[in-house]
Formats: sequence, C-alpha cells, structure tokens
Amino acid sequence: MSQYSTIKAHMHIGGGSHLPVLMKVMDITDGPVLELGMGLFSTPYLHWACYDKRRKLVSYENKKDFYESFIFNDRREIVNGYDYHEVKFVENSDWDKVDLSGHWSVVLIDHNPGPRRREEIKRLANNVDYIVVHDTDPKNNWYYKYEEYFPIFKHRWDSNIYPRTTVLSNFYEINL
Amino acid sequence: MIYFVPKHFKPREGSHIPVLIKILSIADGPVLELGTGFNSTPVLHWLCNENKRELVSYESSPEYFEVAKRYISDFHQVNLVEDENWDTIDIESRHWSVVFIDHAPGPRRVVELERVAQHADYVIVHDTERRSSWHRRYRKGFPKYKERWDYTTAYPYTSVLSNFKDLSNL
Repeated sequence: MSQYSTIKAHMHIGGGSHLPVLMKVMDITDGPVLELGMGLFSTPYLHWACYDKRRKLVSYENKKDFYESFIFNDRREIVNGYDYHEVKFVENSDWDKVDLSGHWSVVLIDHNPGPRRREEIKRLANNVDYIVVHDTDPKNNWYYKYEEYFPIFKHRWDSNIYPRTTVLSNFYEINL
Repeated sequence: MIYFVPKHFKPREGSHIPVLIKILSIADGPVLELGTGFNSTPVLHWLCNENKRELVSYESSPEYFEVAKRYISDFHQVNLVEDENWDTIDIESRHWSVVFIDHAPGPRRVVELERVAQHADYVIVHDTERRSSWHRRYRKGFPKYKERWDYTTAYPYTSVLSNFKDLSNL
C-alpha cells in the first residue's frame, strides 16, 4: 500500500507563510502552546519546537480525515515520549465546547470554518501572551472579519509575507 | 487544489527539525538541501527567508519536486535531479555553510556525505541510528570527518559532522 496519498489542501506558493512568525514567537517564549487548526506546516514545526523542553502543546482539529492523518502510534517512536503533545478532535466543528481555560504562552489561530476564527480570538484575548493569526490580509477580511476584533488588543504586529500573519497581545509589546 | 502529501503525519520523519533550527542559528552562509521534504523544506525556506540567505535544494522525485518548486524564490533555488543521477549535480565547486543530507535512494547518501566533506562547515544527516546503517551506510562516510555530534534525544537519530567547526558545544 502506498505510503502517500492526495489530500485536498490549500497551499499557496511557498506554503507556510506563518512559519517564520511562529518561529520568532516560539523563540521568545517558553510556556504552553495551543494550536487551533492543525496543518502540514505548523503541526510538525510546533511538535518539534516543543520537543526538547517537553513544552506543553495542545492541538485541536475539526476535520476528521485531517485529524486522523496526524497519528502518533508508531511503536518505534515510543522511546521519544510525546506526552507533552495532546491532539484533540473537535466533534461537529463545535468550537464552543473546546476548553480554552488557563493561561497560554502562544496560540495559533488557523482553524475552520474561517469566519469562526475571530470568536476564539475574542475568547482568548486576556489569557494568551501572543496570539498568532494566519490569513489576515485585508482583501480576505470580508470572509474572516478579523478587523472588528483586532482593536480589543493593545498590541498588534503584521507580517509582510502573503498570506499575511498577525500577532496580537494584551500583555507584551511586539517587535519581531 | 489537490496536493501530494504523506498519508499520515509521522512525527519521526521530522526528528531532524530541532537540529536544523539549532545549526542554522549558529551558521550564516549558504545552505544546501539534498532531498526535499514536508518537514525540512518549509523549515529551511522560512529560516533562510529572514535574511534572504541562499538556499539550494535538489530533489530526484518528480512528485516531491512538484511540491518543493513552489518555494522557488529570489533566495531559494530548487532543482530536479533527473533519473536519480546525483553524480551530475555540482556541489563541490563552492563552500557551504550547512548541508542537509536526506535524499533518495538511501544508499546514495553516503556518496554525497563524502563528496561535501571538505566543502561544508556543518553537514547534517538524518536516520543515523545504527539499526539503519545497513541501508544508508553512513558509517562508511563518518571517518572522512574530524568532528561528529549525534542528536539521540529523538528517534530516528540525526548527526552533525564537520571538518571545520568544533561541535563539542552543541
């Protein structure tokens, strides 16, 4: 059986434009990390960026086939110990039921459906040091409607790589 | 859009990521990637993007090349190695800061490991645990280097080799 398959995924030229931003934010922080919406780029990077220090990482995904493609059951990897990384399925895409309590160091907002993302941004506004939001280009604001919620943050920083990534914080100035 | 991707995300296939990040942070010259992948190529591309650091990737699989070529940019060159003929690529006529070796077929890797021994500050090779040596034969190439550091915290192991840098502080 082939080790590879095709999957419906949207990937821009040079996919993973949020990676350089995530790398910088991960580099200046050391607390727990929350990933809302798993991805071909963010999940492997975050998984390994948290590995050496066993930094807590919790990933949520609502697409069943995508969630199931991220399996951690290879017995040869038991020695690596992946207890620091929890992967959770969001039943019926009901993000309201996802427990976001506690204080997070870094949160990546990249989940589906897109218009839902701003709700989690609002829910997390006062319990996250840095929120990293993907796909924040003004031309896509008709869909995501981020801009209405961005003013609830004291600090904001935008990348200059398409698709754009924005970092928000109510706790720290952002100079990436 | 439909893309060719791994059927399952196998964390072990990215066990070299912590080493790539570490070495790129202490070295600052051109980077050579032999064999592209869903783990290494995005990470290397975006690490090099910040300072437009030169990155040259080679791939012999047409499927992987189709994905990797989406990263072609002013600082990142991506090349197809036709018919897996790795002998044709010119990797010895200049000095590299970092070389990452992860190409196919596996037994070929030791050839490039030996070829770049005097042409790179840091050479990073994936899957260097002893149980894989029957296939990749890295250990035949290790004596070509003065220094070696093994990252054994995560399986599969990753090794860094050098004839120019002290690796004792990694």
